[in-house]
Amino acid sequence: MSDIETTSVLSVLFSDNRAEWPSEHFKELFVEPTYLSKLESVRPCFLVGGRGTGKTTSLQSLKYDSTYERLISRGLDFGDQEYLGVLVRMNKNRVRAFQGGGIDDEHWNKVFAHYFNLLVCFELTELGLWLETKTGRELRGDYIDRISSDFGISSVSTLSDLKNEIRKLISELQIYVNNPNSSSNIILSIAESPVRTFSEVLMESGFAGDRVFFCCVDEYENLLDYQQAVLNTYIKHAEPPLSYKVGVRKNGFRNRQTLDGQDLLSIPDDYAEIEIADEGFEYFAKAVAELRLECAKNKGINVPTKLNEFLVDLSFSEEAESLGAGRISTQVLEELSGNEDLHLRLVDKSDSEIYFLKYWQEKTGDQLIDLAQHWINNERVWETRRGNHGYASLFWLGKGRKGARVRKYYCGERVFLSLPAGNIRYFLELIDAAINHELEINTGYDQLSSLGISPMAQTLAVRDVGKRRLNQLEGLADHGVQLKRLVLAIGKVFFEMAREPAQRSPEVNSFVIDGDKEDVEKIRALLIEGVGHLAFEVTPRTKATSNLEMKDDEYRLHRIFSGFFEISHRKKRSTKFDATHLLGVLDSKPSKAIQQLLEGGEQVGESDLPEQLALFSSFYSGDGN
Amino acid sequence: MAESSNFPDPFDHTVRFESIGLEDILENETIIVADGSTEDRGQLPLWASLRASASDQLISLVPDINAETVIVNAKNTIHLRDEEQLDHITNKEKLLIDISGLPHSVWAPLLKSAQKQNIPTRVLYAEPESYKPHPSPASATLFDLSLDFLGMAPLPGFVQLSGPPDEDKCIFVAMLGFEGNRPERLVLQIDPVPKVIPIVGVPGFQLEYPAFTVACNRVLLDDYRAHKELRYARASCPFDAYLQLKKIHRDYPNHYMYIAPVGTKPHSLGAILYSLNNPNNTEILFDHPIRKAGRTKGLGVIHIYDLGKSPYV
Repeated sequence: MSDIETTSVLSVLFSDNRAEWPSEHFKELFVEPTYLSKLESVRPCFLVGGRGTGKTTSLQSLKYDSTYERLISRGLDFGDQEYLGVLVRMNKNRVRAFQGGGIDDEHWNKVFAHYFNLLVCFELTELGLWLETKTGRELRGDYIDRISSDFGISSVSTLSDLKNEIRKLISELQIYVNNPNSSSNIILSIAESPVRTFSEVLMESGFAGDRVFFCCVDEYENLLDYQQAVLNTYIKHAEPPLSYKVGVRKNGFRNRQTLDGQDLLSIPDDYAEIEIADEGFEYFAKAVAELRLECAKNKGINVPTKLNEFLVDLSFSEEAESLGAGRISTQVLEELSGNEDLHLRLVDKSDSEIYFLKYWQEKTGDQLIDLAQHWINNERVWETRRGNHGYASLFWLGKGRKGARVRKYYCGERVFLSLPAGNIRYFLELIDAAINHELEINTGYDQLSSLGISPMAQTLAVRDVGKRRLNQLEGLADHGVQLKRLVLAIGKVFFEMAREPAQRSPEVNSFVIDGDKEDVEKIRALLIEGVGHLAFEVTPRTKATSNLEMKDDEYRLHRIFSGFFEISHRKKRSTKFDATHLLGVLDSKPSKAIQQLLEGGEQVGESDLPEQLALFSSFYSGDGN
Repeated sequence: MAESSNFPDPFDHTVRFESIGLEDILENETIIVADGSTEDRGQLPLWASLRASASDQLISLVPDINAETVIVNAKNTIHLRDEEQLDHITNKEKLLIDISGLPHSVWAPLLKSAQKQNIPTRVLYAEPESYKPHPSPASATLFDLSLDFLGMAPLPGFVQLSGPPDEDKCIFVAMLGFEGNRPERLVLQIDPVPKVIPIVGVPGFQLEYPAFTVACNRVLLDDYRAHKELRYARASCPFDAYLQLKKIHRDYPNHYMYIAPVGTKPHSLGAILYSLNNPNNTEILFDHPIRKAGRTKGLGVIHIYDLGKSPYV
């Protein structure tokens, strides 16, 4: 198999762009998420996760045909199918049409409910037709009559006719929504009614046996607040055999009201909530990657099927040595050469231990000779010290290495599972980019040896994906430009902190906000928007019971940016940022604000900036562009 | 033109001017223009003189910020989804719509109304001389054109509820402009992700603009592996854009086409015309930018397109 073929198979497998996925790959590559059994329970539930966490794929797996195919692949059959799901997506471009036009809100409520009824019933007719083929029977006319009369239509005797009629009703509704002031009237079905009738009919007719119907609603965040209230009412009133499964982005479930304004949709009475980030991402992501590696192997590509073999890792000492520990170590030994005894005792130590003396000297300002003596006399103390500060010292090692392609490695299974912070799309994108880099670096790859992704290729991929996400931010969010400026500034502050250990705790990469109340509110609103768009991560410091307590939340840049800013991906220590200084980043003098955030600490010169940050040097130097 | 019997030949149906005068307006032609545009090209000197001398020949529109209504001749407010009210405006012997200073949410429904009534329509578009640079750090967006976006919502009168019959058979045609994040923001709303086919304005309004456009959209082109699908249509020609869309549809038969008219206005015009002629398998995706005051400077070439007879067959 040629290089190009290898790239092409691997990139199809790891590319998330599902348009390029042959549809048969869905069942071949689908991995059950750890929370699937919770999702399959009868009660309504909300599946909450950021973009790319796999909500749609999970909901899709509940669809009647996907479930059936999964059962078949396990040697089971239709008789083993316990539920029948249909899926509707709340397309933003369509749901946004149900507002304005001089029509009052109450009327839009009814029109939107009618639209939702049509969408779900269209899918239910597809399900009904599928059940007809499975059971070899046709749904009786009187049952179909019960459904069609809910839509005010008659003369429908088969499910195919009903499907066509529903299509016509959607077209009529489209004409109405495009010109809502026209004198022509349309018949509106009553909220919930046809959906409930349809599920009851399928049950009573014996078509569905005692199976439950899951109405899966994806992209709930796209709904306007009043539309969420309409569908909340459906969910509130859901009874067997009908249940609802909702996919929603974090912070996208904005309105818990129902049409009866007093009656809120509440946990645990009305629904369960599954927060994807809390549901064993690493186990799931690893299974996804290994299944795809297995698939690649079956297609004749020489790859390991274990993720930890595919993503080559570096030990601490290997990494330190690659980053120039030897150079520093030589310098240390030279400086100590005057003390023969000390020199003799150190010379047998490894470079990855000796360089640490220099790091500690920079951190504390102590004399090198004193530190060396202390080490010799207190080996265990220094072992602990290296354990606590060793990782942080790797960032310091990269300082001043002008022109080096890599100043800190991001590689290995553990790092690749951590950087996406629960986002399966990011995880796949990292691997996809790493494969591409590897095949660029390893031009002579001949398929004879197993393809492992080198630490260099992984690191370049981490940087690339971070850069891509940063560029994308600008377009994603309503305040994308401000978020990008904030990310760039905070990233730069932590970049500088990582390189300047003097009088600092190691691995500071999260922050709380403090200062002027009004400014705190402003920056908090921006950070919350940033969390929704995966610019930041947040850890509530206390349980969020009121807005006041939320102010103590601890924020950090999303881990996907770690490689771009060359900072630690591990959640360790936090600092405090003044909200006014953070807001300053959005003004015309970001460099001043960055300097204030660093509390006067030194910044590396423009020529010392890593290539990816140098692109933003005009922003960092102060003119704001 | 061999493409179709009544499709306007761009060469016969486009005229270009450095400046226009009364002699360029047709007899009994009603002109629809933006009132209070903050751009030089949105307020042609001829409109000011016509407003003073022949105000009944000129319909001035002031759109509201929410893309919902428009104030007509500083008197009546009409809803842009009210076909009857729109028909009342466009039901004239001949129409000339100056789209330079009007947002898509205004000119597109007016055009739909005029086409529906078979009103002979010409569309005027004035290029700017230059655009304002952008403040975002190393932005994908070279120029500072928009203050904010209302977000994705259908253009008035262009709601498409049916959607694609097969979600796996969709394409997303992005008419690229200088705001590289706009098509990306729109395509991100579609699931499953469709194939992305970009159209770049070549030749551009200015020699360097096509290169700027590709640079501004590099993230989209990379992320969606769309380089190999790049198509070209003259930046100032709606007919060329229309034909390119037709060609794309021919290359992807039975595909549902999402079109993001976020490039040049003439391309957007081509997209709207295409969508009006192919209502069942196209859907316009738009993000309703709130334009920055003074986003452009000066006045460049003025184009007038004679749309001919629709529907194009």
